[in-house]
Amino acid sequence: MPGLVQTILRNATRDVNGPLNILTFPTHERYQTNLAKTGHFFYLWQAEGIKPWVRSYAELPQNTVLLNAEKGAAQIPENIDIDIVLSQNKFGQFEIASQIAEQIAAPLVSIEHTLPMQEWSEAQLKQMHQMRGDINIFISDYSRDRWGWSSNDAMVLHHGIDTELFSIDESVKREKRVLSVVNDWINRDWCCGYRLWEQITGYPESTLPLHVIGDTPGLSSAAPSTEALIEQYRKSSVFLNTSLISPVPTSLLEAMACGCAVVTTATCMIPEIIQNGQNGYMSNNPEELRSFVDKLIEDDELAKEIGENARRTILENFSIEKFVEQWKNVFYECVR
Amino acid sequence: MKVLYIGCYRDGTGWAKAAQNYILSLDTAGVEVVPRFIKLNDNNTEIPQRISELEKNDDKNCDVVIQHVLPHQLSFNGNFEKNISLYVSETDHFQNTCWPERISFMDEAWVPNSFMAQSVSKDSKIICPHYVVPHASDMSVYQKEYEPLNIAHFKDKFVFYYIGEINRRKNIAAVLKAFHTEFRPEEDVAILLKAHIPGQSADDSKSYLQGLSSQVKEGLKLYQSASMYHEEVFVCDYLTEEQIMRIHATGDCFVSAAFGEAWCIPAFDAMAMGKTPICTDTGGPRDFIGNGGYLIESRQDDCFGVVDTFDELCVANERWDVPSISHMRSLMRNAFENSEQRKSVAENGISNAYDYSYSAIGQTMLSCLSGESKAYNQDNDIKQKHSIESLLKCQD
Repeated sequence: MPGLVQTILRNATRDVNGPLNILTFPTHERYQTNLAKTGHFFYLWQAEGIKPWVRSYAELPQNTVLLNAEKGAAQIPENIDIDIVLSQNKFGQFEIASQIAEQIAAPLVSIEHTLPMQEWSEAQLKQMHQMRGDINIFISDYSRDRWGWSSNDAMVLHHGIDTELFSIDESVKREKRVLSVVNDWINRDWCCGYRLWEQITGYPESTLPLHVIGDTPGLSSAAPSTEALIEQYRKSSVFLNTSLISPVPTSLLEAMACGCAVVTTATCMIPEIIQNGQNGYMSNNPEELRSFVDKLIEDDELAKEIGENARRTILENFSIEKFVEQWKNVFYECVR
Repeated sequence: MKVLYIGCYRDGTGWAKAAQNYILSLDTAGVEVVPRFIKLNDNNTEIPQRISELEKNDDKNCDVVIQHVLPHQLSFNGNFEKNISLYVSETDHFQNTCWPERISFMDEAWVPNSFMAQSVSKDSKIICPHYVVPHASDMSVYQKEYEPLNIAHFKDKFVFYYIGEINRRKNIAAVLKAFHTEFRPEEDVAILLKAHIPGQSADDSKSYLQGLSSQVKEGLKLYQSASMYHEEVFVCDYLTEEQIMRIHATGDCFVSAAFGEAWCIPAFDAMAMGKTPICTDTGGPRDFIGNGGYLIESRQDDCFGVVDTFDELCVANERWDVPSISHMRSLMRNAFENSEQRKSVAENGISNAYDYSYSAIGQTMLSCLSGESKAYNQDNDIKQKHSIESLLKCQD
């Protein structure tokens, strides 16, 4: 592990606008892929209790290196001076990240992707305020509020969607069908709303043209590639999201970027994204949600208009360019 | 010239103080200095305002880096014109450690006393040039008046005193032995020890000193009862710099029987305050005391009993300087009885201290940085040792 002196020397001698060396952990493959677009080098610390990188979700970006867990505390290569340590959750990562950051005198950035457990008391939440980095980030205003942090304590950086990749292709004809994209849906009913989906669509006796993608045994399988997933978004006129607890439903944002007309629950940060009737429809009433789906399936023009507005929302608020720019600012601010 | 200075100057230790004073010396000499700190303890102490200001300097494009750290922490970086190690040691060598190799990676090294530089010049394993850069001090500190501590026991007495850590190297038992052996109970002398065991409470340090005092008195067997000896005053709490200076103002003569000292800030402060330090003839005091205090005759002997530092340091194949207690006693007696001579020595000490002002040491540093100084081990044929052929030979 680089020493304190090495860290100071690295800070003093590195190219001010050059790429930084950032130590983080395998977390969300798609999110990490987007982080890698900042152009910095990412070293992913592996250890027991830290989830592994799942290559079927995304290939490892070229500027991202999986460290050797077998080397334990010595897994950072000796010739690499880490500039920043990035913790991406408070359970498992933060403790390791803060220790490493202290040991090598590197700044610590703490981002939290998840929501706090519902059963936690105010006091417990307050206690977790001590788990703070030099810069603290949440992925939505909703998430920051739920953790009980103020805008003075932490910033919000929205997810970024690669809008060149996730885009509308005019040459692909949209079909009248209701797409949903969820992994392990049945088991994760508590957060992803599988029963609610059944209630809305009437599955398995549904008359709606349903199409489900995701690794859910007995229901659906995952798309073989990101490109195949995008093709399904482009082909579908309506996207139905039933998430109940999800800090940011990434598939919802991807569907919007691809011009799907979305119908969604109004949970967590979704009300920050959807303006009802303009760039999508949202409700927590199953019957109302069904009526929105029916309306969009019947009216292609309306679905097209809503889908285009949805894409505009993503371009304006969730573009990968904005995401990358904001993260670049965070990283350079850290080492300034 | 722009210098990046890496040191533990926020640790609140003597080493931190030395680093602060080196930084301020460079600043006084007009060098653009960029301090960056490392922490070796959890202390959170204030630093001089000027250093806080200097910390705001941009650390980009520094020409030279001074790494005032433990030698195993040294890290050569080819982006600097010069990588300088600033380190200390208190015995005649440290060949049991990885330090010689680490130091040899650097372009040059600075040490605070000539004793160290001479030792290094004999050490064929260290192949980078060494320069002596003594510690610096803020002379304005000694120009102030400090109110002596109000201790009834010291009334109308000549007070010997010690300030420093409690550890084997400091050899505090010898100070107690010399004092109690030399001065009969009826003589108007007293002794104050301001000492602490690093990382332990004031109470624990006091208990240790009380135990040590009992052992010494039992061992001396001069009087039937321990209560017949002079009573010592122990101060073991953390004191601010101002309070430390009040201790100097309270005492008359500083005493230290340390086996080795890279510098010894309390002894220097004492000299600059006219408190005629009596110190073992070794390391820093050997260089700075001159006619401004008294050096205790010493003999080199193998290190023993140092279990409070790194395992590889102060082992028995290293040597340090063991002070003669009988000579120490005679110096203490002389300081007590010969007030005229002591006054003259005190004046010399106050005057000598100015050789170590920020501006004086700043100039020394500047001449080292500009290559005008001669290295102590220049005759070691360093260039030859740094040659590619020599390095390849090492690899074979």
